[in-house]
Amino acid sequence: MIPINILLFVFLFFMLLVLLFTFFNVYHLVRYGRSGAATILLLFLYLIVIFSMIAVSLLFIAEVDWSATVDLLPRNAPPLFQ
Amino acid sequence: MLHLDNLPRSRPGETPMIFLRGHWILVLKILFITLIALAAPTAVLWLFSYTAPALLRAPAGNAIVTVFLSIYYLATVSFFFQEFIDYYLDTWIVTTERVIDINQRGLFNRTAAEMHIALVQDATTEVRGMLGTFLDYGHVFVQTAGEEKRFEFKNVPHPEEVRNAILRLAEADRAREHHELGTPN
Repeated sequence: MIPINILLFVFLFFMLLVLLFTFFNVYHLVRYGRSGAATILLLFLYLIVIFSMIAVSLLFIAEVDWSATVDLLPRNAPPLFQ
Repeated sequence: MLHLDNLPRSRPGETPMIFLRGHWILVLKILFITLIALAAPTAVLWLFSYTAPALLRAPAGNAIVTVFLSIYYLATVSFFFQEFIDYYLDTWIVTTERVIDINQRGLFNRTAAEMHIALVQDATTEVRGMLGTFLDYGHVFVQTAGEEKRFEFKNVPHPEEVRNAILRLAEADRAREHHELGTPN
């Protein structure tokens, strides 16, 4: 029996990866982007979209029943060898 | 941030004349790939709903699909922004004194090169394909005298106009230098 909540750790790891990417991209935009309204708009749009997506993902994930388990070898499965 | 009026190592009297990025069709290509990638799971889920509906209804199946979709959509949107920022930060600046080529590749690779505009010997253009011809975008190759150094302005809008402007600026800079040195042209 494998608890499905281990998937949450996979998601957490990936979310950290996305945040790391976001940090570097924001850094590059601030450091090297041409000064002006377009760069600032792009910066805000990027942050709004990424954080909105993380928030929506978390909302969906919160609705899942994480107490369930996956049975890799179900008890009523026919035996492999007689 | 990069201020055009205050470029790094700018020379006295230097004025930025051309600021270039790739043509907007490059953004459209990134957007098109992203939209296809965003739509793809819908087709997969539709297929699963016919072939294995029980899997989607089961708590474990629901959890797997939710986590997978969350990761997939975050990755797709991150890919889009990553590619767009690559495009946005790839710039070419032509001033009255220099040609500057700034190239961003991925998260950690960035190159910035420059050449004195008076050294520009030749500039050629290359327009490829139907889209390039109709939308007027292509490459501009800037070659310096003597050296093997060559700058490539990739997929820039109006390559012919850019080429002519670079050659004009190079000629003007050479004439100015000759005038300052008091030597004949």
